[in-house]
Amino acid sequence: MEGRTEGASLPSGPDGKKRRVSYFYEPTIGDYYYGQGHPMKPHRIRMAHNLIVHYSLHRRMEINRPFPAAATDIRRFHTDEYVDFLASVCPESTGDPSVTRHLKRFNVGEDCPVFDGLFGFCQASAGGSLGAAVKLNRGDADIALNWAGGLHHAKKSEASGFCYVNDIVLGILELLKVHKRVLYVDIDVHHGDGVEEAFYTTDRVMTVSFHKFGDFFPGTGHVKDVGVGLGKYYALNVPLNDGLDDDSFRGLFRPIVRKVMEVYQPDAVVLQCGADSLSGDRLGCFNLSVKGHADCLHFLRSYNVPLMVLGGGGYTIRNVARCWCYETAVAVGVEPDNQLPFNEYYEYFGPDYTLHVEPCNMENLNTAKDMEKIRNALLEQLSRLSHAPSVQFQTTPPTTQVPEEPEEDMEERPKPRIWNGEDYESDPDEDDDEKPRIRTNFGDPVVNVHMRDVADLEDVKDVKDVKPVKTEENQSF
Amino acid sequence: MAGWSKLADGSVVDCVKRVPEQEILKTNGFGVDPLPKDFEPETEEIQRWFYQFLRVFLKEICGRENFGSLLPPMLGDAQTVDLFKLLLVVRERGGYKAVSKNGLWELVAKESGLESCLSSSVKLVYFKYLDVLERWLERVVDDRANLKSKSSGSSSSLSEYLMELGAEFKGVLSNSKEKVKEYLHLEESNCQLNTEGDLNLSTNDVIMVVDSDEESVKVDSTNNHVDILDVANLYDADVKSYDVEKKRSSSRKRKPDSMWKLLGWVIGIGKNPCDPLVGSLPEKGKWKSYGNDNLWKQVLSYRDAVFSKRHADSNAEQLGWQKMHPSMYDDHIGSSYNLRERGKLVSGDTTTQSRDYPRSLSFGAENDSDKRGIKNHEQKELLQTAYSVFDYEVEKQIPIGPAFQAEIPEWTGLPYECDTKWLGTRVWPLEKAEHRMLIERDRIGKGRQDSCGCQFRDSFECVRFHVAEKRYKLKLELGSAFHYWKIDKMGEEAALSWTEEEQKNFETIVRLNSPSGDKRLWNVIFKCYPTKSREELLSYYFNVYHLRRRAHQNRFTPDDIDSEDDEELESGIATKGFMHETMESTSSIFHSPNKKHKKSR
Repeated sequence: MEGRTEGASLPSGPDGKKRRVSYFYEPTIGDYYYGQGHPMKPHRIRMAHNLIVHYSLHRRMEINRPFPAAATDIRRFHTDEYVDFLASVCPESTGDPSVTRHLKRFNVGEDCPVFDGLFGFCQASAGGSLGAAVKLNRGDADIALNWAGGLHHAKKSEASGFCYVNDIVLGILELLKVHKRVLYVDIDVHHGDGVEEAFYTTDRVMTVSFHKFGDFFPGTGHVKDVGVGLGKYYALNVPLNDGLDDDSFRGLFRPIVRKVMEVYQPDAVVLQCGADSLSGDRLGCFNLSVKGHADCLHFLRSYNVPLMVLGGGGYTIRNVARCWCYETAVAVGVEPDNQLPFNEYYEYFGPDYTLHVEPCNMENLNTAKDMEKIRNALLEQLSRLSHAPSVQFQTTPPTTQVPEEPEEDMEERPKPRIWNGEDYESDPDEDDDEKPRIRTNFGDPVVNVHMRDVADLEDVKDVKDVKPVKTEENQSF
Repeated sequence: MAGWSKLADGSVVDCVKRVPEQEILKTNGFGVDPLPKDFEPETEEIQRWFYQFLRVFLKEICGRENFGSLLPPMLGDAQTVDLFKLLLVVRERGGYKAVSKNGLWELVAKESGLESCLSSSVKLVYFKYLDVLERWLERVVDDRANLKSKSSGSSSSLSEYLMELGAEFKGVLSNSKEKVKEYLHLEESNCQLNTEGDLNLSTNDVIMVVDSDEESVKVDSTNNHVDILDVANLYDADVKSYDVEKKRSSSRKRKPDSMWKLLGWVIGIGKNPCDPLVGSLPEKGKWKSYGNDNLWKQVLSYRDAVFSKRHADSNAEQLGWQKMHPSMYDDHIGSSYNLRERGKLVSGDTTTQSRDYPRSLSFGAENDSDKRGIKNHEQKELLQTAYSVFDYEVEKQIPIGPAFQAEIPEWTGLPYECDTKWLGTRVWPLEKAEHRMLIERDRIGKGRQDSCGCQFRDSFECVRFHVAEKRYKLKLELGSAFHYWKIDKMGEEAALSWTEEEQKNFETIVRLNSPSGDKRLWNVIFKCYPTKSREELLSYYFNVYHLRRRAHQNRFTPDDIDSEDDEELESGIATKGFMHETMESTSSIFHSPNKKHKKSR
């Protein structure tokens, strides 16, 4: 195991370690069409795939065609009636009075139109995320990608915001079969309301959403929405304003996610990479560059926790393709050239034909003051989580024999490091900065109890380091 | 409650209020009907009535809170100025500008019963108190005239409720109009008439006018065309039925009491949305079981009717849902778009701050709304100075219950069993090594090289050549996966099965069907190519048509590539949504900051 280090995951950084990456792609996905003028275009996924193979990224991945999720699989989250409706509705039947009634009831019609092959699209999207979850569960992969997934607005029995079936919830439910705690991170410009709602009352899934808030769809995601019951404080909302740029975003994302990783210690992470938070999106209003967007993946990848990476929004399709291609590269640990290779969709990327796009000079309405206020509020919320006698840390039995004196250590556990408000700004290379902190944390015996499996645990005991990439014998789940 | 809380567009009250607005203006005869020459408004009622109107007007529209108590104004020598009279006199002379221009202020002073030496004071008084009102009236009249012509023929599909309630409104309004006329008439003949009730009603109507005006003039004139059109439509309808009524009888009375109650109720709600007396409203589905005599039902039904008219083909229930996409493919403004953009206004035009008003009200029936109603003014001020994510209240509660949350399986720690079907079909790496070793492979992540031996670099031909070259390489490497992923159907290749003529026709069809912007395009295309499958046509659209268009733009108008929409704008399809957008972008209201610098690639 060469260079088992934390931090940057690209060859240019200190950690060039490879991850086993599994990628799901449905070859017909680009043929689905929401209708004339509709901003959601599955074609973008085909464009992203095309870029990915032209950059030869496929060589570092296993690529699978997802098995279409059946109605029964989708019912693991969605209600029977809703699924039946989705499975049966077609554009020709929308005039039918009985169907019309259902259209209203399930909010299908305007934002979420009935289009040809609607259910097939949902099946492919959900099948990919379920496949990704299974891959992670089996330990077949360290990172699993499904750009056709990430449809985070869909509710239990209601379509919303171009989303019909919530593949994320289905994927997380699958992950929960193996992993005790799953962290969901959402960087779509819209609030991840469907996922938050689905797991609002549980502490086994923590949802963290970064989104534009205030007179913006879907209207939820207030910083004060923190969860209910057992799930209290296990929903985190980071409301943001127009013009968010890379630096501001990083200044929030890193400290918050770092803290979340510290206190929650998820066994698996799901990252929704909605690309409508990019600069110049047709519906979004942030000003992130592709690199700024991908920094989230970069950062989460450095934790070496099983990671599911999903698509989501994204309505300026050439930028979506750019972004997801680059993020695929980040996942496999390659820094691709900026000059796009020639490819079938080359002209879509003119007149510059580059991978990266400069953000524009729009005003960033996120004042430093606001950002600090949000950061402090959320970090405080998180510290409450770690200081409160958390149910899950006690009730969940360790997966293996307990190492010596775990209970005592519970008390003595080093206080989670509270962000001091300067390291993200003054520290240009915090990837290195990350190392000691994480190592300390993960080196703590109590933490070890919650590691996923024996092999990891022993590794940690020996090396006092983060979990290694799962090796072949770990697949014996 | 749902009916209230889900309302994302406009307040409950304003829809109702819009009706009286135009009517009342007509009724009062301001600027519309010629005033009777011999009209002498000396009675206290008329004055009281007018001052009340003016007071509210100045307060609500001009924000001059403290003016109200100064009415009627007094000149230096303790003489009061009869503003109503003054207004009429000046209007008769052609308005403030005309009077000033023609130097008629002395005359005006005289005619208003003041000494002509006070002309400058009179001018000042007029300017201070009445000029705004005058201009406002003119504007309303203009708007209405414009809209009337615009909306002709579009007011055909009023729903039942609208008819019913609209008729009631009309009844009352025409009634009150007649009352005023009647009153004036009686005035002339020096008769006593107890018009207490009717005057009260008028007064309240006037307050409503002012309220609704705050929105319809300030807000609507900025962007909400739908609303204005609505008003205009209603106005048309009102005029018609008014004419009918006039023919029938002049002393007709139609349930003024119930209307009075209704209006009172609406005002009450407006003042205190959380008044326990209002109680909670049943869900929409249950409305049917309530009688029409419930005030709330009348109001909501009316609102519904107005909405369903506005959203001709959509349905009222859906309106409750906030929309993600700003209706580029619809003919009305999506509520979310309104909401989203409202925030952006804040840094700009302060006159639009009243847009916050309907928003607060529309959520007013939710549990934290009492704060909201009261905080309304504070909020406005807050928004004026600084706007941050903290300025928003929790708008939507996350619903709790088994109908909403996912059922989470117990964690057992048992070995994981899964259906291997989820692993899908492995496409890459290939099962058999095919001939991978024989080919020259590019480095992973390798991009385009700058060296190029083509005669015309970056020309169509050059790019086509290199794409084909790269494609061939990729095909060799991917082997069967190349076809499995349908890369052979991507890009220009999708045009291979098309004849030149078919391609030309396609372009023409798209171009010709652009301006209509309806969803007709595909119907036409499907009809024109009966032999081609839907997939083929769509594939051509994305893989060939748009690609070529972009290729062209990249070379000839590289600075004018619109990043707003890959499909519609770049293809020049001017959908209604698109037109709407450009229109708004010029007024910079619907223009989000990032869209101003649209040269992103």
